[in-house]
Amino acid sequence: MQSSEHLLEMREITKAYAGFRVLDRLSLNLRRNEIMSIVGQNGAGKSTLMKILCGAIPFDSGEILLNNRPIRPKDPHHAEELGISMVYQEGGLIPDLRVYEYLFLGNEDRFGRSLQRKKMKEDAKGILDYLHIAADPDTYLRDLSAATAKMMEVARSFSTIEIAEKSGSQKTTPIIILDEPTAALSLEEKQSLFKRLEEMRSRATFLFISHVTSEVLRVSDRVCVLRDGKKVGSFDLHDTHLTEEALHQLIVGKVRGEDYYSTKLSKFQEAVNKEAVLRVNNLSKERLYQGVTFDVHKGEILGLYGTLGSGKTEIGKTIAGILKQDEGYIEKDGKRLELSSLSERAESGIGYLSGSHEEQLFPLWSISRNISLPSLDRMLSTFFRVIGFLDPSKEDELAKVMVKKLDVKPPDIGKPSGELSGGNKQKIVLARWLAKNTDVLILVNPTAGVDVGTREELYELFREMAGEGRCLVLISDDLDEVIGLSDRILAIEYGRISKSFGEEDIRKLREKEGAVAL
Amino acid sequence: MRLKSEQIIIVLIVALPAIFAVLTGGRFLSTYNVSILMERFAIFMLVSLGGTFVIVMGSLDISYTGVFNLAGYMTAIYAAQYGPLAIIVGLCVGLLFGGINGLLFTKARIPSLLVTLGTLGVSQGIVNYVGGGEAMWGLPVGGRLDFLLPYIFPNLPEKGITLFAWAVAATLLCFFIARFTKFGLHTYAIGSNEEAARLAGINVDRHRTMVFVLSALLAALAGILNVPYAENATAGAASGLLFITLATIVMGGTPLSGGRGGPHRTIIGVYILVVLLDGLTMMGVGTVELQVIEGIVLILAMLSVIRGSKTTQITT
Amino acid sequence: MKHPKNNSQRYFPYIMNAVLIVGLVVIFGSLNANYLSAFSLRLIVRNLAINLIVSIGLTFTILEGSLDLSVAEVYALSAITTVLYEPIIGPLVLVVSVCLGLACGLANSLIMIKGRIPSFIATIGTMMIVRGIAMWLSGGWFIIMSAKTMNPVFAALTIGELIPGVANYILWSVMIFGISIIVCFRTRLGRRIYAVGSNYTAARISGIDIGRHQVMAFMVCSVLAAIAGVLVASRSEGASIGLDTNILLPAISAVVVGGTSITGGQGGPHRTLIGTLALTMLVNGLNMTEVNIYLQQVIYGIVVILGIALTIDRKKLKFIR
Repeated sequence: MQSSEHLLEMREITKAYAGFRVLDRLSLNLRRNEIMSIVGQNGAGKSTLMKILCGAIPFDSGEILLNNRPIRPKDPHHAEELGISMVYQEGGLIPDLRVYEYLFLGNEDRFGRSLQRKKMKEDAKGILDYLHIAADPDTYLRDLSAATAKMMEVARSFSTIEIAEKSGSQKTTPIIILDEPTAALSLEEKQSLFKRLEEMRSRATFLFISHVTSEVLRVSDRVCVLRDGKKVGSFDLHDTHLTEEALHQLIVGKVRGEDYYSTKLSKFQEAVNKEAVLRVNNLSKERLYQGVTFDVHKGEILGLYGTLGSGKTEIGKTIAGILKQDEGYIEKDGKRLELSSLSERAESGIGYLSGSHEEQLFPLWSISRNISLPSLDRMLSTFFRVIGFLDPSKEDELAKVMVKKLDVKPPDIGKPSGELSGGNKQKIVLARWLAKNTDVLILVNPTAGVDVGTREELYELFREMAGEGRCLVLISDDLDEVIGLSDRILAIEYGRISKSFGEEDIRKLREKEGAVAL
Repeated sequence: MRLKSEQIIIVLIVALPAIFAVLTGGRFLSTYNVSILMERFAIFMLVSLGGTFVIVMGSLDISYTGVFNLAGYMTAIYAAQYGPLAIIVGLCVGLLFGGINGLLFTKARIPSLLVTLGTLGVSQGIVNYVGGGEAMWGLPVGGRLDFLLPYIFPNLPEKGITLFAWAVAATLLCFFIARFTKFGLHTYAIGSNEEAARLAGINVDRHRTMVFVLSALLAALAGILNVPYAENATAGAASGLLFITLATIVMGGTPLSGGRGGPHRTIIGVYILVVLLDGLTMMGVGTVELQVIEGIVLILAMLSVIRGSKTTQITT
Repeated sequence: MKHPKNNSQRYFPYIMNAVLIVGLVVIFGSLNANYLSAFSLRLIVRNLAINLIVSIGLTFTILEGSLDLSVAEVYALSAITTVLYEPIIGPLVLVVSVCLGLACGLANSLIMIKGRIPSFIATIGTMMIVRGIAMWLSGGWFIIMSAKTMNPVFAALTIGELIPGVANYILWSVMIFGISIIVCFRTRLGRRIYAVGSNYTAARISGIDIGRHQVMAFMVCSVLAAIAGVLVASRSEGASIGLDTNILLPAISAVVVGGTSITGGQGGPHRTLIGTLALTMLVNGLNMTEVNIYLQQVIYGIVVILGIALTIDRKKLKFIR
């Protein structure tokens, strides 16, 4: 067994669920007192890896070495004894507890038989000072700023490791895993958090899980990129200069071959009508996006692109009506839309399609029923229309037409939609909006989790729909997808539109396969 | 909104009695009425204490009136033969139903509202069955349980005062548990964020069961004390109090979402309600109007305290 | 096109109820030979009819994902207003009751939506208010309405016999059942209510106005409770506030035992019918074998818990409060 100077080494870690490899022979090492970031998309395996490390789930094969000794964390408490603790993305804080109560929750006995509040307070102050956190141990967690509260979770990790280690083996530099710690923080709070992490670096080693490329580059010593359960690469940021774009591309990866642009998509180049169907004006939402203004024209596919965490998804959701903006308005066909009224959106002809099926489909319902739901007003039978009596044959008719048009496999309209593959589920959602004659579609990562073949079918469908006069707002993490489909692209950075690319620019990008160019 | 309600509460505590005192020409503050107030306060308090813990924990217990009635009634029956030892029977009733509530909640994963709705039906049904009717008049307890409420001050309705003393003692005990024990702290933790509490190593299932048992025991205690106080045992003794005690808990500042408030808050809610109801009765408001008012109070209490976003459409 | 579900889930409530009914028939049939007599069956149908109406109303709110606990009080209040005003306006008491139901349903849903309070709490509050009103109107007494002095139109509508031997309220019940089945399975409203209860987010994204449909469900529920109140007042020739205790638990039990999931989106009036049938048979059997009426309440409690435990969709209740 080779020894190393690394604090922690994970060698060839594999984890599979029902034959599917979530982690595939992953190797990773960690140095003492460094901040190492683990990045990847949803499903890349970062959470699984971290859960294995902190003892929440077991791994199938491979080994973990801590200070050159093999370990196998059995459960979170055992991991704490070994010196590893995780700060969860959300749900780890207990807002109604005071700081000192929270830091020692579950470990009150070390202070004595009854609840020793005074002593707990003193020890809490000690820990806070050690970690350079300025806060009064008496405050309720709910009264702290989000960044400070996050620090308290880190402090708690310290505390539990320290208490657990007393009963465990030797002392070692604590390893604290931070799962997307900035998820709920504002820009200032993030700065604050990063600053404190740097101050605390001498006390611990941090594993920082994130999908926001800009933050990762700012705060880490090293970055490790995961994709589909494998390690794509790890980079020492003091040696290598990594741009956000390059990092983003490593995370997302390329999906198709180089000649894709030239053959498949070029035949759909059509002139875009200049009539503005959708107007977005000065949209702002605290912490997410600012001053977003753009138009979408008839027959146009507008791509919104940005790195993970740039706010593009939230902009899309606001247009779709799922989120409410703080300022600004959206107009369709000249009429202003109400804040987050999805029913109004649907009536006005705006539809939404995301990569997440649970929030869109009714898995136990048949394909036919899923498709007809927004269009029930047109599915009424000839008699008794007044009371809203439905005619199932009309629904089935519609479903059959849609299933044929979109080539849904299997074409059984009575089949429960939950039994379809991911790509076909997306087709159903698309069918739903087509049936409703929506003329604006907001697509957010529409091909996430869809197999290559169906993906291309979906792209053709998108192009067709645009050709028929609809406008599509395509929001995606996949740069190739955005470049390949859009007539116009807006780049989003930190919640603002940073650049705009017209037809000419896009043509150039396609030739260059411009990943880094953007 | 939270800060404002604290100020409103303080205003109410002072203003309500003052207003009633003025409106009733001073009768409200007479010795007699004050003792009535104290008695009412004691009853409400005793019934609400158990529920307070359950709500702090983030669940609901609506079975306490059934347990109250059953415990009281069973104790009364056995008191005739076994005297003081009959209390054990009553307390066992509490233990039993608290345990059932806890088990069904933790093992069968049924929401607390539904579990306790069921045990309410069962316990109330049992006592109705045994007692043979909604109101069984004057089960001859014959003073065997009077030792529970000893005679302290002359010239005052002595049972009421002693009941009040019991209520104070019980409240202090509960407050001690809530604030000065690990058990209390953990209860708040679970109510605030169950998942995080579990991650911290707290055995949530066991704790929840213990809280349900505590709640039922307190209800049973209240039911037992009610026997010598009311000088008879009826099957429906506490039934009218079912939902209004929920309102007092919430009104006092213990939100249904859990994690905050506690016995010290329930005191406030009970105080306000008792003063309000007594004052209104003194001014001639009839029982039926009071029912309506109670309903309105409940809704208002919920509106002002619930933070809204946690539960929008889920029934439990 | 029928609702496809995987087979076990679809048939489980039916199997459960079938077993229950068969079991009941066997047990009580052997204990008391009269159980299966025509008389007994008529009794079952009589008791079933009016309870069914309330249960169906409750089904709508449960399907949508909520719970209306005020049905019993609306039922009682409606019965009381019927007795009080029938001598004055005859059959128009029906209109009064329907309006009452609409108002209560509206109030319940608005308090829930605007106040952002869980439905069961909102309806507990309105339950108490309605109860207060009912007590005030009736003075707490059992007020009487004699069949002989009833307005003939009213009497014909409610306890008359269009079909000889079958009281009209039974026909009401059948009609309401039929209409509710049609609404649930063949109308826009029904489809949307199922959508809301089945997957709130997806329903919202599909453009369904959640609030409006919740209001509709609650209004239907209260109106049906009110209609049931009119019928029971006529049948029992009187009304009192005590009616409420006889109906809440049986109504909820019937829905739950029938197999309509309390988490919403699954089940329907057809299941409630079976649940009501099973429970009514249980109650009648217990009465015939002279089991104490209060023991029956105990049994109800147990049945409710069992029914819920077996039909609940745990995936939906991420936190069990």
